[in-house]
Amino acid sequence: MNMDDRSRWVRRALVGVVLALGCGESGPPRGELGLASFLWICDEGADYGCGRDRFPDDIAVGSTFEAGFDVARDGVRAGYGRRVEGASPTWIGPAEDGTGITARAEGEVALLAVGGGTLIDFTMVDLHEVSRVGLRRPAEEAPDCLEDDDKNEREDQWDDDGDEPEPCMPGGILDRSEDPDAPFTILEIEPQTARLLEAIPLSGSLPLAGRFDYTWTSLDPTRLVVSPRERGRVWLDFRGPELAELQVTTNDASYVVGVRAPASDEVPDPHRTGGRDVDPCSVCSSFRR
Amino acid sequence: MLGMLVVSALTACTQPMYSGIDIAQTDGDVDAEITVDGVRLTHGRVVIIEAQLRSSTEEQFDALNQGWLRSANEDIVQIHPTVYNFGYALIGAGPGRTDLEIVVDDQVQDTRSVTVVEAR
Repeated sequence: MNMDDRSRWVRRALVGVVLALGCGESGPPRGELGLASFLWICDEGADYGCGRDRFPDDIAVGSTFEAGFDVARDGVRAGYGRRVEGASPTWIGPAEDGTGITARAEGEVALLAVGGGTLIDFTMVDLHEVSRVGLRRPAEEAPDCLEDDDKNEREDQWDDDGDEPEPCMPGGILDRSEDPDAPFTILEIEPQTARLLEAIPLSGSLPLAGRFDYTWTSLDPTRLVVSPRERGRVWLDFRGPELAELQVTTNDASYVVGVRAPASDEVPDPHRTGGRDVDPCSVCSSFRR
Repeated sequence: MLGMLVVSALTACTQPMYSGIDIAQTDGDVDAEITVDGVRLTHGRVVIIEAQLRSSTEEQFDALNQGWLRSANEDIVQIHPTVYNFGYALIGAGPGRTDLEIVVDDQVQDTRSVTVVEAR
């Protein structure tokens, strides 16, 4: 097929695509056919894919998301589609609540941009099981924080005073570990201070896009007050001084992190629970910074 | 207009115009393998093919828009037209084996086997 044919068919296909003003996150065209940009559509839910400058490659199994697509011609937005389909119901299907689609299983699958019955373009995504949850400060609150994967560049990021940048995940990463001896993750906060955190689903150290609902519960409400915020975030008001426990529940999995005042030089007892017995398997966490 | 002409011609003819189908892959995509026996593609992935029906007079017609090409089992493979002339997307919707059917005058005139396999 020559370019004239191709241009003619592009024009025909665009007739079937609804012209509309889109929303959500866009990025450079990345469809395999080079005809469309895929859009990650964001709302108030907690979703690592939001606020990024490109369509995510890696999506969490069990999460819900919405995606659309933009068709540009000669550098001008020529069409928009609100709905993207999965190539196979094995991996992608309608969300139970009717809002968007759900990632069902691990694997690599094509997302299809279909308009007027015509396949405009497609893109491949990887779906991963969530193995861990990371607690981190929202990116806009800590733009220069040190990602866990940046450890090798740590010295390069010291500021002019020689201070090491703060880690993005001050609460560490919470494993869904079955090891009953796994120690708690400890989050250190100065007493009488508050901190805003968000949860990020991870596969290993790989952050995953996709919307989850998070439930935050203080297991020691006299020492730790939690105030859920939009986009799955939480304000922690730590009154201390003793250890308090914060439970994060999502997608039928619960994680617990300990919150305490900054440690002195002593080595923390990983099973210290503030005087209460805790089912170690329900804690499912490990210390990692 | 072309579609109307073809439909009219088919209706008028007592002999099917169909004489064969040409299927070719449009790029070097490794997700599919096309042989004389059929098409093999990967579950969850997409391959773009060119499919042209040849008439007894060696004319070539757009297959899908005139309903001449269809999947015998859309749970295994789906066909979408694309923006390319004579270009179609075969989508591996589920593992298994089925046929691409070439239909003329509501009769299946020919088939090409399609096998959808799991990714290695």
